[in-house]
Amino acid sequence: MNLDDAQIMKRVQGGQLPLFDELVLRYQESLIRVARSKLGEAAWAEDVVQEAFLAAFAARATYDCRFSFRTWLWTILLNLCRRQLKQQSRRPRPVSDPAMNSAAIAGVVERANHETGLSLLLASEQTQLLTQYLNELPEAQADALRLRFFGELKFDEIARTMNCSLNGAKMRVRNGLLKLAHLIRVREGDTQ
Amino acid sequence: MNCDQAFDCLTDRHLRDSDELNRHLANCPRCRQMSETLEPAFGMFDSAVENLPLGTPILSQQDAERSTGPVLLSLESIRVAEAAAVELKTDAGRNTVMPRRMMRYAAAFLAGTAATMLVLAFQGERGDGQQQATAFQLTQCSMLFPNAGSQSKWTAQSAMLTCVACHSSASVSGDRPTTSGETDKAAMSSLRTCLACHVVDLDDALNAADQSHSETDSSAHASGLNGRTANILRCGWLAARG
Repeated sequence: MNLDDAQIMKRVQGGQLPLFDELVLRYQESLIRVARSKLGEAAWAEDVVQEAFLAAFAARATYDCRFSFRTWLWTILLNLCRRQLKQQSRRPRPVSDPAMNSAAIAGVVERANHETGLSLLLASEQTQLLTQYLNELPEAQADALRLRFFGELKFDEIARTMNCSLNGAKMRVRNGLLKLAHLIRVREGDTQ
Repeated sequence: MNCDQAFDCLTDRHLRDSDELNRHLANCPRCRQMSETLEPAFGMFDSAVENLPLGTPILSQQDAERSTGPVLLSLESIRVAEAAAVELKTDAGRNTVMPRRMMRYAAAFLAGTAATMLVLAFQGERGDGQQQATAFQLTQCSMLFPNAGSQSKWTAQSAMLTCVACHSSASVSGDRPTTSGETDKAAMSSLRTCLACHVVDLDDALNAADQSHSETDSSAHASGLNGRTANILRCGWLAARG
């Protein structure tokens, strides 16, 4: 389909509801990556992403083509993630290992045809470590990094999503990366 | 490619190996140093993007149509979406208008320009030797003195006094003969100038003009004004100055 997001949303607003599926297909992977990294639990991430799409769909009348659908969706997702984290902090965390829940295992098994078990374990460990390190960064820097690397947003989109300036978005990514690289070096030094 | 663009490329895994970036890194020690410092972080992100399990997505249009159901979608999340839309709409609007600081500069510039034009226009008319406002008439100027005399708001009378005080004072004050066609024309021009810009009721304006001119013993003026009401809508001052 060659329609851009704004054109699709216009048609969805006009009643062509099935077109919304196209937007879901376009963004679900990157949204899940970000939510997964922010929430640490695959099941929660899926719920939040699904809720973000449903909220955008339910509030489709408020969408305006003067702003980007993509930015709107990311803003909704980040806000829902924050809300989810607040709720989590009030509830006991599930006992299961976040990296190895059923959904994660399903993903790992799917890739097992092409990769060795060892490399997958290493990759999984890396991912888990990254999630842990990002949680140690200031939230704004960590979110900016997630949006840049998992969401693959441009800096101006990050700025709009996080309601900051373009330079602010770049500084968040730069400082976040520097801190992250420092953390990695320090931890690697500790383990050797 | 400058250093800013190089940073954009470094943080984009699709562009990190581009020739252009490599050329920049080869010539820029600062960016090369940055790239080396951040390398472990880039590696970790790349690995995570490739290996982060996505679980079992997700949604179909049928799910979306059920969105009014209570299972997943809460009223609160719809509010989150609506609030985000309002915020982004506001930001989009803000981008199209002048920043506040620019507006202040623009306002100061316009005020300065207007003041300069006023002074120049006043001096020009004095230089012609045809029209010269008296001190009393200047104090009637609502533009210079918003509370001049008893006029606390912009009325037809104050508008006319404001204009005539500067532009055609002699014709009203009776310093010069008011029966000549030339003076009558100048007075009309002044009135049109003022009234065309400042919103006043036309009838009110004409009555005020009549009253003012009768006070200054200019019956010819008064008859001239009555015959040219349509001209009041046109700004003679602006037209004369291009």
